[in-house]
Amino acid sequence: MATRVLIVDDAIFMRRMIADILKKEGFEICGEAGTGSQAVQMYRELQPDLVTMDIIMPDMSGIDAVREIIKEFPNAKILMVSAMGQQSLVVEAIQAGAKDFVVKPFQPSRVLESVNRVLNLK
Amino acid sequence: MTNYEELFISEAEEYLEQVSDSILKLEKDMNDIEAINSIFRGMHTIKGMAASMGYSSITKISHSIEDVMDLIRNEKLQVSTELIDLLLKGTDYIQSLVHKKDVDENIIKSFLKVIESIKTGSEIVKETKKIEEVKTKKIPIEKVSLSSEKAIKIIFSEDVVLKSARAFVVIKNLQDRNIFIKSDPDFDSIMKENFKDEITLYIKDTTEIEKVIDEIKGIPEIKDAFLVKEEAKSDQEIVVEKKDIKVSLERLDNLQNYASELVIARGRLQQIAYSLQNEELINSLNSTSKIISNIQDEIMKIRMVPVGQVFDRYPRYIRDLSNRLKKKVNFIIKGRDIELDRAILNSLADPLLHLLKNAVDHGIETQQERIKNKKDETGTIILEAKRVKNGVLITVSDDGKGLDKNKIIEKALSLNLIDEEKLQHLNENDIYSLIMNEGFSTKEEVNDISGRGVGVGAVYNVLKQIGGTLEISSQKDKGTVFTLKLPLTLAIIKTLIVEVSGEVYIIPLTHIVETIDINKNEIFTVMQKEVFVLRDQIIPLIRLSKIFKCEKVEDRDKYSIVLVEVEDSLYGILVDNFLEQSEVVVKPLKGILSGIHGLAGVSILNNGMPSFIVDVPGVVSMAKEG
Repeated sequence: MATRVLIVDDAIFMRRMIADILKKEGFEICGEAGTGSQAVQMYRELQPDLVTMDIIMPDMSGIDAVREIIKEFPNAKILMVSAMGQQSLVVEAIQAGAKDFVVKPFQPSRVLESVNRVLNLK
Repeated sequence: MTNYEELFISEAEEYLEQVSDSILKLEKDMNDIEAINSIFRGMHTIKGMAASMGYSSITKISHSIEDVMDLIRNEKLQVSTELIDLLLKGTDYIQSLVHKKDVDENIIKSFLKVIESIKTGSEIVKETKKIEEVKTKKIPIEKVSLSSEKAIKIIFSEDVVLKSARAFVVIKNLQDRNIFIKSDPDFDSIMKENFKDEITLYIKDTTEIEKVIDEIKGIPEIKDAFLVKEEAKSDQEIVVEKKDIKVSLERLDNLQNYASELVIARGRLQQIAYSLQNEELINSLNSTSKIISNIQDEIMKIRMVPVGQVFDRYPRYIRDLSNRLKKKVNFIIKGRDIELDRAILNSLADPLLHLLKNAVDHGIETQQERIKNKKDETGTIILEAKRVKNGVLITVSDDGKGLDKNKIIEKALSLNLIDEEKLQHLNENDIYSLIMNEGFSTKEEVNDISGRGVGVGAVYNVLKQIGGTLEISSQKDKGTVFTLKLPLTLAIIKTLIVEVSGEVYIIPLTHIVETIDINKNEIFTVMQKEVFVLRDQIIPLIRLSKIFKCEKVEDRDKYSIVLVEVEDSLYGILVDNFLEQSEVVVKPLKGILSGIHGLAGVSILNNGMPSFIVDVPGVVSMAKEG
């Protein structure tokens, strides 16, 4: 069965980019969320194998979403998608339980490296 | 000599700032020994510098203040309000002299006389002591000796981005295993990126150490991780020296320009490489490209300075102004550590001063008025900097009487900025925004504080030039808030590149909320304006092709929409296609082009073609005007 990924980003543009990269490698995009609260909601419903999470989004931030998700699902595998200059936010997200991060703009290979590492973690 | 002069001026400035800052601290707490020492040291240094430059007046003034401070230090003299005023005056004279402004010799003479009388009045004049020379900081590194500890060296790859965060991923991994002890450099330094491309982590000895190391090696952007052998630990104290050098701003600007050119050149090369499909070329270009990004990043970082450098100039000014106007003002600065591009910060110095001036002069009421309105008799003005997505917010807020809506409307009508009909469509914030028009000032009389004519309009213009925005909100008797939204840096911005009727435009990401694809039949016309519905919200559409009067407009079945936010409202900018997301180098429009509405600048794209950068707020207001 294909690995199921939930993509969270407020920009459709970014979602599409990440989806394209992952689809090419045979991942299944089981859902897309545009806000933090939507992400939490969808995680509950879908319980995907992996989440890619933007940091700054309307309503709930990606970091808060990570906290919410980890609270309910301590083993959730979340990969942060950050922009340059968001170092302290990334640190906060990792602290909250995200497993790794990639920085926009990214190379597809770099995204896949992080995705695979996170999936291989126990 | 001129070389020295430049250095003298810039350094004297720094010391003067430090001194006046400390004087104000001393005013608040007259026993603040740290402030006393800081004034003493600052003046001592200025004295020495001025003497070597042969500036006798500065030398004399700074010397006299230094003496006074020494008396205070030794408790031979009491700090008083008069003395504070005198110290500030002396600082002002030095400031003017440093900038080659004439100060009447008689004034200096009488100043020195007053100081002299204070000194003799206090019995003994002591010789000034030598102050400690500033030494380079020595940071000894702790010795490691516990045998149950293991040291792992982590080497980062050259292309690591967000190094601190990457290091934290490693540390968190060890923390989760409960084996992390400490790091070298220490945790705080790691979080501040104060390390090159390697760190050492000390962990509790564990049977799984090989596994731990393997796992660390698997983390992206980690080049290597290995156990450090015991002998490698040095028993000797390792000394790290921190050194700073001064570089002229001009050189820095040049460096940045070259880096910007490099970015453009890289883009072009990449395109060629991809069209040639040469794997080897692409690979070597990719690593070059990362180095270029690093250079760009570093330069950007050098250019960043804490806003405190400018903010800290204001307390003194507010104090003087409020005293003169006999108003009580509590001035609070927040977020002085937030960093901003030096050029942006410098260009903000005057606009911020202006807004603060307005707040004291027009915003905060007199004590009597405040008491009458049951407010605290002391007004509060807050100057705050905050980091937000893609930029920095600076707010100037006061708890004064708020803007007078009716007066603004009256004035706007009389200045023909607006007519009765348009007025109906304006909401509260739109009305307040009217004061951004040049030549607008509601205070009737001319005074020497706020002057006339140049008002918020001038502030708005400066912001527009640097790609920022200004928003005003106000509430009667509650106060006014000016919000300045600023890009982090001037030269390079993140953008979305779009296609409209065969032409290419660049939209800065700062304004973009999201992007949406829609079909032609999802566009409706309401009251002669095109709109579309997004999650139950009706959003006005702006056709870029119409705004820029594109020639080859074709009817399409599908459109792409860039959803933007301007002054808390959403608008959909209608384009044909999204091309790519890209960082571009902004060049200002010059000559006849500079007058075109709706354009914020121009940039050379990767294919070498110039394209215009869309001024999103400008386009929105053009669309509103129809």
